[in-house]
Amino acid sequence: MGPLTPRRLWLSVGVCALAAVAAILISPGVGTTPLGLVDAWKSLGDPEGHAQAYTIAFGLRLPRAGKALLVGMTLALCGAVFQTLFRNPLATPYTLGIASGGSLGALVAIKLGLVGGFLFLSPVTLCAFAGAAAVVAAVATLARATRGMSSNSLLLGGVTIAFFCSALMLFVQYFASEREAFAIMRWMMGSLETVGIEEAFGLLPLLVVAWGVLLMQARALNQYELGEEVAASRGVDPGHLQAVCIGFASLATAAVVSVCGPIGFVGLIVPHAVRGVFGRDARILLPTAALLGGTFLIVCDWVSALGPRVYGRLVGQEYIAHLPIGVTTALIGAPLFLVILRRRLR
Amino acid sequence: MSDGRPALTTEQLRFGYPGQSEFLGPLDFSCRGGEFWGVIGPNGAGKSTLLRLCAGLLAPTRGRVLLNGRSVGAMAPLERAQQMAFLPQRPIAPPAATVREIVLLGRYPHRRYHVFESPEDERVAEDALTRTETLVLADRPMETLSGGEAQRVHLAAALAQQPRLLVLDEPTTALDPYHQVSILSILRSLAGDRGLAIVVATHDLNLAGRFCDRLLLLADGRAVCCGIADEVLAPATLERVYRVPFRSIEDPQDGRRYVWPVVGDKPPSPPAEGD
Repeated sequence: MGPLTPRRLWLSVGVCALAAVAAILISPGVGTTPLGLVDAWKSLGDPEGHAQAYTIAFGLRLPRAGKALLVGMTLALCGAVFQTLFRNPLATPYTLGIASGGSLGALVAIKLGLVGGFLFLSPVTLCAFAGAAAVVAAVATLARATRGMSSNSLLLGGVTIAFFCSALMLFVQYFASEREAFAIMRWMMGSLETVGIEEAFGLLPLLVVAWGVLLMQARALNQYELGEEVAASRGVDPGHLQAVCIGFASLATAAVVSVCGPIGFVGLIVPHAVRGVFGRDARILLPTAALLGGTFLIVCDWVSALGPRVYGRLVGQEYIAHLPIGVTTALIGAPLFLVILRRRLR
Repeated sequence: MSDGRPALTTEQLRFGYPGQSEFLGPLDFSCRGGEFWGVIGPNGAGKSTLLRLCAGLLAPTRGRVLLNGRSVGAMAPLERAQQMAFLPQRPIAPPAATVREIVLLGRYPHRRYHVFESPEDERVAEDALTRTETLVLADRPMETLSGGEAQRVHLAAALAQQPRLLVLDEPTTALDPYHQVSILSILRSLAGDRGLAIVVATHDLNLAGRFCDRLLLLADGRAVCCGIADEVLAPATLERVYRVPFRSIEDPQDGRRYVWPVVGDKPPSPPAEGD
């Protein structure tokens, strides 16, 4: 691919940004009900006259796409950062157990029916932060206790913690009432509907700060690919870089997990695919992975909405339902990941 | 370029990992600009530890490491990186990255707060590529290089840092004789005409004796002997340190002394503790 030039960076970021904008503009025209793109945008000119269309297109679908964009951007960016930091293609907020910790925290808040909150953050968000922070602390302690621990052991530790959190989540669910259990179940599948749009956009300032800080680490992360010692000898403070990356990525992950539950595979496959197209230099990888991660999740949301309709037509019934998006990302993501894996191994 | 001032000095340097007793030191030595030092000694003698202390990657438990008269521990990481480069025993690189990208990464300490490389960075990288005879490889991905080529590229990246001190941990291990000689010749000439201070750890006693100005022989964390090759590479000294009999011979053509371990019928007695 060769060294990164300003031209290549801005061109690539521009293309990815256009893709994201296009997805947002198309999103009012795609959903469970048969309201097309033209009618959706027409309703904007006359909201009173097309009240129903306007509500569906701009009251439901557009904010939902916005939410998908925020969540997808965050998960893909955090995945790209972790993969570079740990020099391991499997490192994501999920494989390190951070998302599971956040999920568990959020779940406990749902079960206990906590109310109140702090600033614009709900108890669910705050508990998700606490859960994610607890996992980060556990993983960090594990890493410190075994000096010079490889990223593989760290990932094994993370996966173990994720299983442990899953068990605790099932434990909480088992003792929940039927109504709570259903809410928890839906939430665990990962959905863009679980939390109100105001709350999701309330997290925006926090996410923007986290994105900015993570993007600024790009050049230090490039040094990290040469190994910790060489990075340190080039003037990167490994402890500081790890703390900043893990800290802000965990914060951002906990924030999105608290509003949409666990949505897997975005942080895994988007950075992989992007690396193949735009190169591995973190300066280009991080922004393009973020933009395409957001785009990818919007498209997954379309599939979630259209999938049941298509399936219904096939079996001769009518389903008007929105699949939980976590199901769609896993269904699309897992096979796609296997394809990427196969190409890398060959 | 060499001003004769010590580029690297250790003063009563001691080191032990936390919770363990000090196993290295006290060590005092100084490497001037333009000098090429070889650190030799058995496995576990403390060569790599000494190099990491010199490069500021480990902090001494007692004593100091001075770089151009200033304590390495007190320098900001970026400032230190502008003056010294370190090459570990097994450097790694992303397989898909091109040679030129890897060499440009060496510019980081000088360009921390810029997003892109400047024409000056490209010129320095080009110079480093030329110097290490890797310019023809510039657009090749790292995964397509041989071990010797990759090692020269990593050396070029270290040179792109424009350091005054180069610290290299066994840079010729696992290389064929051609690449061993090629790497050491490049280092020799860098010390000569750029006035770089160079410290290399190595197991090849004869190449060390042939290329280095001075040798430091370590055993069990202490300096056994320090000086020019003929003094350090004495069979009796080597035999004591490595616990195998050594013989030496003078090459009638260049008058240099070469040493080699004598192979007996029985295996030698086990070497010193630790590896």
